[in-house]
Amino acid sequence: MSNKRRQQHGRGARPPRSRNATRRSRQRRRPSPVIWCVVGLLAAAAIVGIVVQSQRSGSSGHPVVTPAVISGPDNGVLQGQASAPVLVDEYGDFTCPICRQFQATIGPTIARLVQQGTIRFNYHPIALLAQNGQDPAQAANAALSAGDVSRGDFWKLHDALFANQEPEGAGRWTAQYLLDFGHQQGITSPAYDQAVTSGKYLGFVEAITRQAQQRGINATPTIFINGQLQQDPDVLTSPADFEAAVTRAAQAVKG
Amino acid sequence: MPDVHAQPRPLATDATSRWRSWSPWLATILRLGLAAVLAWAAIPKIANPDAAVIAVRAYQLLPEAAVHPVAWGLPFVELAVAVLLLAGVGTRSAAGAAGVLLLVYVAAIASAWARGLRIDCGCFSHGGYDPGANGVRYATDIGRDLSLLLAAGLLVWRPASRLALARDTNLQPDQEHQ
Repeated sequence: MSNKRRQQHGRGARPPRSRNATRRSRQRRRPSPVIWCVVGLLAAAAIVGIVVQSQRSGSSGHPVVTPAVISGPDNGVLQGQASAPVLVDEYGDFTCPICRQFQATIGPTIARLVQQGTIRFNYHPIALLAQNGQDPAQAANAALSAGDVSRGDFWKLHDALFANQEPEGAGRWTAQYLLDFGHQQGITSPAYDQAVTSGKYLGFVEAITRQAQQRGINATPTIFINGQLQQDPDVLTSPADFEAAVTRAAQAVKG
Repeated sequence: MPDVHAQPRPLATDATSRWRSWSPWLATILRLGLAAVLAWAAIPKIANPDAAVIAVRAYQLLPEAAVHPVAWGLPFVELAVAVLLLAGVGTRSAAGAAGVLLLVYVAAIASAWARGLRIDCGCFSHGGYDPGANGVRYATDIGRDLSLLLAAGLLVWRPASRLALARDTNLQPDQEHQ
């Protein structure tokens, strides 16, 4: 870059008017090369930042600790009798509105079929959405932390998180908020407090989310009935259709 | 290489010359102050990339695909601008870049305020949901950023300063009195 231009560019004193005008018109045609150097440098800084931070964040940040409450296949939280002929898998995200809808409409049917010994329900608390300014990984971590207290407390928090989902609340589910939320739900064990505060299972949630994505699960809720991916919207929205699909699967097992 | 620490000659006594004599020192203070604030803002965000993601996401302005790149890239841009300002290299462009960043921040905070979000701005620390967020805090954040914007604007206008490494923003003593 020419010294002359740089000198003019950076001069502290105001140059005479005519020169000033000349400089302005020249600049309009061709901005100082310094600007492009700086723009290039800043772009390089951004790229370096993205590359460096993508390696530092995520799995490297949190160790993968498998929660005590995990008992089902493919790292799920399982409920139901071992003799039940049908396995229902749900990959859900506590911040996903359609998961809440699914829980509200199909949840009671699932609970009844589990009670009747027809199905085992295997829930995978993944953090796929990360939208609405919320942090689904924190919510999943809280539910798994409640599972450290008891299996029942996991399901209690599972239900409560969906029931109290608030799409409007930006970043609502922080560790601190979830600590208080758990207390309100009657989960007062120090084990819960410790696991929520330390983000004990964040690494696990990341790991099962990645696992699910590698299996092609890119939406929540994703439902499998005896390993069969359910794509019929009626099965996911109508209790009767859901139960019919379960019955078909049970009959297929009996053969 | 020109003399990096070139000192100006003694100046004439009229008002313009008095302005010339202290304007570079004012620019130096603005430059170093702006650099310190930007570095102070960038370092915690670089130290904790996951927290930076939460802070950016909380604004609910970007599609999810853009949240991570912005959360990870922006603090490095802040730091690079801070280093340029600290060194006094490309001061006018660096101050311009700082101004652009500050304009974006002011707009983002104002938009969060207007939409009734309750978030920490994530300016100097971890952002995200914050039930304590209120109008006073948003206004304070915006006021602070506007003051910094003023500093950046002054530097774009008069980038020449003392203690700068690069000649382009140093005074040129030989041309001072022509």
